[in-house]
Amino acid sequence: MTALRVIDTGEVGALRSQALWHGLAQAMTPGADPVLSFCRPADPYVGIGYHRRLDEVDRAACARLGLPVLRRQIGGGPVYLDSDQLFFQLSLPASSAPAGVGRIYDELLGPAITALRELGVEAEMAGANDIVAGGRKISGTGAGQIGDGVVVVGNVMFAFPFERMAEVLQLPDESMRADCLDLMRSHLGTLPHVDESALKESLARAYGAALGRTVQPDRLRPDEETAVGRWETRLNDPDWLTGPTLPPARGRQVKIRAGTFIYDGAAEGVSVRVRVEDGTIRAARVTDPSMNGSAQRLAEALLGASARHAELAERLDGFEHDGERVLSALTPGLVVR
Amino acid sequence: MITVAGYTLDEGLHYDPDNNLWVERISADAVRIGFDPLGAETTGDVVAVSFPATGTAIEVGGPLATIEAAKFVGPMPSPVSGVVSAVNDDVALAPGTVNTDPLGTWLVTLDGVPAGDFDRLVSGEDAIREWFGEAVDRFREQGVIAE
Repeated sequence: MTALRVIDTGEVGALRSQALWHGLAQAMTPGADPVLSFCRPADPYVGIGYHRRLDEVDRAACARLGLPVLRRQIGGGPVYLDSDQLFFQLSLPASSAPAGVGRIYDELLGPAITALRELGVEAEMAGANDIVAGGRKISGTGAGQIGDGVVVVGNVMFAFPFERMAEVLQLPDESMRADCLDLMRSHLGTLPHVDESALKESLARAYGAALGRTVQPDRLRPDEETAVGRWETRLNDPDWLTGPTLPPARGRQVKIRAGTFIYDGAAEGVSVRVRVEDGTIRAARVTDPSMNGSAQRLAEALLGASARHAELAERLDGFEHDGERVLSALTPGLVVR
Repeated sequence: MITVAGYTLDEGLHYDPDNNLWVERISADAVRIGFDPLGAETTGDVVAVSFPATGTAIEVGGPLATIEAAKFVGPMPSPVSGVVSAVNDDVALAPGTVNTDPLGTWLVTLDGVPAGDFDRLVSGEDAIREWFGEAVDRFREQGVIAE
């Protein structure tokens, strides 16, 4: 077997745009040819990662906007998806996937970077799995093992309605929404001048070369159609949408890209909100009516600190119990998802 | 405890050689299961764990838990068959303990484990040293873990 099957379904409904790659991965068997698949959702919707709470999404806003919500079996937070995005996915047998999550991303997103660079986009990896250009995230990615297949998925945004994305998030208040919107505008990028057909051709070439396989345009086989159909049923199931049992929420975090996020948390009566860019706290707010003025000093102590527990503990050390409470409120948000 | 290729292992445990999991026999047919240090390292920084319901029957290779690290979601394949008798909710609250204390972090206990399921597991200090040393070499050759 020496082929890279390329399956381009073109514009499809929201459900199929997710079921496609779940089904392709599910249908993988040891020794099967890898598949590079493309699709573009005809209708907008909101996707949410496997281990995320449904209440991270403003369901009322989604209903008002006519946006279905679909849970995927890979990671990541809620994301607005529409026809201005090209989805690409590489599915391959788990037995022939690189060992270790780091290598999976390195080896299976590397060709996407090659393809973008071929089109003049100065793409590079950031963090474990973000693709950035000019400091802005231009492709959201994720991965997972589904059945005997491993799939790495990504999107390329030709345009992106930042306001709509911010609108579908369930957040504690409107100021956090404004912060999210501001961070998205500063740290996400679109590729309006990239030609979709050229991008698909470039991706197919790059993945074929990286995997040492001949690119072979193809269609879904009957067993793959069946698997995709089963995933359409599953993704439409309210129980699936509810998701797995998760522990109680501890604060609200919205990640924009690697190292850049907003976190709002509380502990022992103190509320803390931080805005982190490239791993450094750029804005902080501490709220506790009982603090009598020290809240502002605590917030100032956080500014410029690396969003790491050890450094924050050092910065807050002089504030005794108030510092401990702020650290306690912040700690859950330091695990960036 | 023993040290192999820089990793600390408990020679009193059984190990799944395919998936780098440890298996502690807590009674004749009951086990407790977690990641060994190499399994924890290659899985990446774990940010979420979810479990099947207690009472769920699990086959060898079936999903004992669903693990998320760096937006990769995948199953933790069971090294033995049995029925889920307990899950560690503390891990769901603090998934990072899988990485910081793999040997001290159990995820699931299974009852009704057939004795024959232990045959494919690695146990005993000499066998553990040989298997684990080869596993570390293999991962290092592949560039999955640091030299």
